[in-house]
Amino acid sequence: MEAVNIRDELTRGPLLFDGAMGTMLQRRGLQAGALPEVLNITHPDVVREIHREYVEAGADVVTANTFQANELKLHCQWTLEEVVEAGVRLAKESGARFAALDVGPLGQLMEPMGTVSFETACEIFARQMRAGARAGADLILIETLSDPYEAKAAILAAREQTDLPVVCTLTFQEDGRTFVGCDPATACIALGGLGVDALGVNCSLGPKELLPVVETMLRYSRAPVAVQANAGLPEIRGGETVYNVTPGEFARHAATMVEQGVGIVGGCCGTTPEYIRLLRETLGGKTWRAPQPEPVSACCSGTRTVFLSRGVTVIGERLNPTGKKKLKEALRENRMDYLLSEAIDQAEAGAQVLDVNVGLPELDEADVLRRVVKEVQGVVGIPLQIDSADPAAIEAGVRACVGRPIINSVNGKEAVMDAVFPIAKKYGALVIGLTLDESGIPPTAGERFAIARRIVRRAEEYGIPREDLLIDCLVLTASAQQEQVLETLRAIQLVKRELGVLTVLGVSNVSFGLPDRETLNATFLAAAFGAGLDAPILNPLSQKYMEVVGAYRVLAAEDRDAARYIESRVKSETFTPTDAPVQRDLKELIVQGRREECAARVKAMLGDTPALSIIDGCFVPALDAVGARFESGELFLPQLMQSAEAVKSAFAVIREHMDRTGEKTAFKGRVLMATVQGDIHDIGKNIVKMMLENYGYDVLDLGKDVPVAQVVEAIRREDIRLAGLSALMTTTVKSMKDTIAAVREAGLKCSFFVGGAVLNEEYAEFVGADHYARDAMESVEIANRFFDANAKE
Amino acid sequence: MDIDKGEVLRYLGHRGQQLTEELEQMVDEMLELCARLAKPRWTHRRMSLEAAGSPVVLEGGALRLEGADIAAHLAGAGEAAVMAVTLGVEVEGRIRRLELADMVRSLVLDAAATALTETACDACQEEIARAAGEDGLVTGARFSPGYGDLPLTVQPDILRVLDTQRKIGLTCTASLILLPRKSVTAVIGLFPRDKQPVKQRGRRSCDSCALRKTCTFRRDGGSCEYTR
Repeated sequence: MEAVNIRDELTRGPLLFDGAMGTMLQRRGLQAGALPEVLNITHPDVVREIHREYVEAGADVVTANTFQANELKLHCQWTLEEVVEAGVRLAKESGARFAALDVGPLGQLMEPMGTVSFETACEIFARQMRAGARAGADLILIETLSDPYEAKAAILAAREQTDLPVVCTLTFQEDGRTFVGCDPATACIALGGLGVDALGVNCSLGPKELLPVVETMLRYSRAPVAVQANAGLPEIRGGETVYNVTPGEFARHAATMVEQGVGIVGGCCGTTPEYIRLLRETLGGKTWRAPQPEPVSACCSGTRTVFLSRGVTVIGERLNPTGKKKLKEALRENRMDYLLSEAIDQAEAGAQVLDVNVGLPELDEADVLRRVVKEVQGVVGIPLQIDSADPAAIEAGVRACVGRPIINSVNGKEAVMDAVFPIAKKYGALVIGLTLDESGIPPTAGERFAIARRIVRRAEEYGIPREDLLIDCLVLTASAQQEQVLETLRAIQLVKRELGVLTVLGVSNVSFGLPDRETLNATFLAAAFGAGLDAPILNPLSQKYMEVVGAYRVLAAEDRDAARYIESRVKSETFTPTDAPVQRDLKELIVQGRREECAARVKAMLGDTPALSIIDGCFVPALDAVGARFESGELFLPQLMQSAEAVKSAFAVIREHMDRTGEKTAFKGRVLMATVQGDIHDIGKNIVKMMLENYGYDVLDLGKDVPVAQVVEAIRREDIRLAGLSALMTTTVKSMKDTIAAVREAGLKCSFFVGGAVLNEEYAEFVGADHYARDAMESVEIANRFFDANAKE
Repeated sequence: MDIDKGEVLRYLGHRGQQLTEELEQMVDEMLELCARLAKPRWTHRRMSLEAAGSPVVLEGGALRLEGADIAAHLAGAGEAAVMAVTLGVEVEGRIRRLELADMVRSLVLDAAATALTETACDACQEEIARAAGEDGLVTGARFSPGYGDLPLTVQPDILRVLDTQRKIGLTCTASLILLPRKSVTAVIGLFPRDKQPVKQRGRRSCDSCALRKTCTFRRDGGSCEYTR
């Protein structure tokens, strides 16, 4: 069959897929737990016969027995290519109209929860896709996935390695979400733009229970919707697994879905040729009508969708190094913690989307953007906006996104549109278009509107619909071009009225060079809302801006019954500021673990006390006192940590002060910390890191699951003399040994202290460490002794 | 599903120290958060037990359990139940996020999740016991990979025979770490009523525990929840 034909059929509906392979094999005596894919080679007749039964039952498409044929799961004497080739061949030999390569989940969780990187996932899937295409599959079925990130890797691999149509179905649980928390609307928004030929749901539940999920998908999926339900839920009866939905019921429910617009149906666990035969019969009398998905403007993370067309959307601007010294330093030194705290603060302040910009001339922007995107989406569950002028960096960032991002930005320059629109199209991203072109920012609203119109037209030529565009009419500063400030608002009105696209605006520029910028910005923001602004890019940590946003949501009837507004007012009225004058002793506050008060006290002290004497005179003795009480059992870990958190927040005040005044405090020493390769339990390491920092050490944190070579390289490059390694599992203690051995072999003079749940003195010796640290306090003592001794030498 | 606050505090190393009201409140808040975010799910399967000995062979070779300790643990059992429990990824995501913003809360939430995992294991085991009871069998204690000399390398096999990725979203890494992290797999012997070993009627002892040399509970003169 020609691939073209099936692509047509996928849009014409309904197309009938087959039922389960696994349960059919089990019935023929295959062991649960054994790899069923091996049977393609050892028992080809059994596999072919099952396919043939489905063809006879009326299935248009049979699914090759290749679900687990990926290199993470397939451990047998045959190569992946041999197993896939045999599987696809058997499916074709069954006489089916179409044979699908079946692609299941990798079997291991992906980053950030797991250890398989997005790039590795793409490579693993790519090999499976290539093998399937070479074997002559007519289409690719990616199924039973829970993670939209994994689905993205699989879809991209299929699209990049083959020309075959791609059907992708995820698995949803009773709560309407996948195991990683993805809801059906988010699945459609995240994956719909990646060029899939059909999107849908399979496994876990029966057709009746899946109905709400299916209805949501019909509403939001731009691609045809596929459903392969289980034959209900498994029950054990007399030691046998049986499914509780009969073939008749199954066919009835599935046929109803087809009437609602589902274009592809088939069965998953527990279904047999009998289910498919009845389904074929039932479909005979039904008429299919193409679904009419709602055109929406939406971006998403892996777990949450933001509908830009349904109200004001706040885009947080703070992850941008322009004019931010600390962020620049954090990016240069790869201190992700600082970036992540900025991301979390913005999300908690009400940002719904985060702009991510890492443009610094000395950095490899594509590489840094890819890493930052992954880290940020690992801790905040909101969509991202990839902000760069470099198309290579844009592609790296957009590719690494788990959900559907916004690209910031293109403009009216032909070369820029030609470079960026293909990226937006390939990854299904939304795009911001700036109303400037080769001759700069035009002064009048009419001219800016003309550029916007050109951008919309060019986008449509690239197949990007206007609901996927946002136009930025650009703000000029009131101090330099006062007459033109309101032109921006007129341009917004024109764009909204004439083009019907969404608008976005970075408001802060308007006040550049003037005092009390917040008031100007807030006023301009309110005016821009009035002109039709949909998505302001602003600093969500500014209370004033967020108040304007909250108030506008009431006036625009977005905040129903002003519920959120009223709630926030009540909260702020009962709020008592914690930075009232504090008279208590700082040491006492640290011992009691009073974070806010410590920070406020240090702020007050810094007027007449040098930073260094606060650290040495208060922090260290207070921490020592708490540490001693912890050692003696008078305090337990959370109490020690409360004091540590208090010092941490006080330290932040001191750093800010030093940045401002240029006052320098020498660190006591530099310590490298890492959780070794293969291990991802890093809470212990993070506690030790915080304690060391509180005692004035500069900690270079390499994170978790750190490859041996990376530790060696960092120790060499940064001239590290003391390093701490952690491992939690007996299986990863070996990595600890390898890491230390590699550093010694490289001839580097570095001492190691090690810790972790399974470690003890014996193990420490076994791995070749110099010190064993039982807990965080002991790590500090080791560092103190080490650097004191070094200072004396 | 309830989370035992006493257990949570014990995991955190609490040995009767005076708690401030704020700390109490924060612990309560984290227990609530844990209960809201965690999605306890489990799956289990009864498997026939071939002739006693090491390795233990289940269901005609579908699963093999190496080591003398599991063989002893299952001695006299007519069948075994293999189980897997997980809390899902959401609570872990929050633990990770809190690590950056508030380490104390993160630590407490982590401990709460550990306690809840145990509660979920108990619930799963009860379900197994109920079904086994109908057939006149009683359950022994849970025995997990990593206890005694039952190697962790059996972890992928257990996940495969239970089809845990499909059923409860549980996987393991190349270095045999269960993911989501707040997860447990275990094997339970199903005994004819008169054949249950006496020592399994209570909790198990520290003797077969791989962590006995480094256990902080033991260091402080106590023991963990399995032996109380």
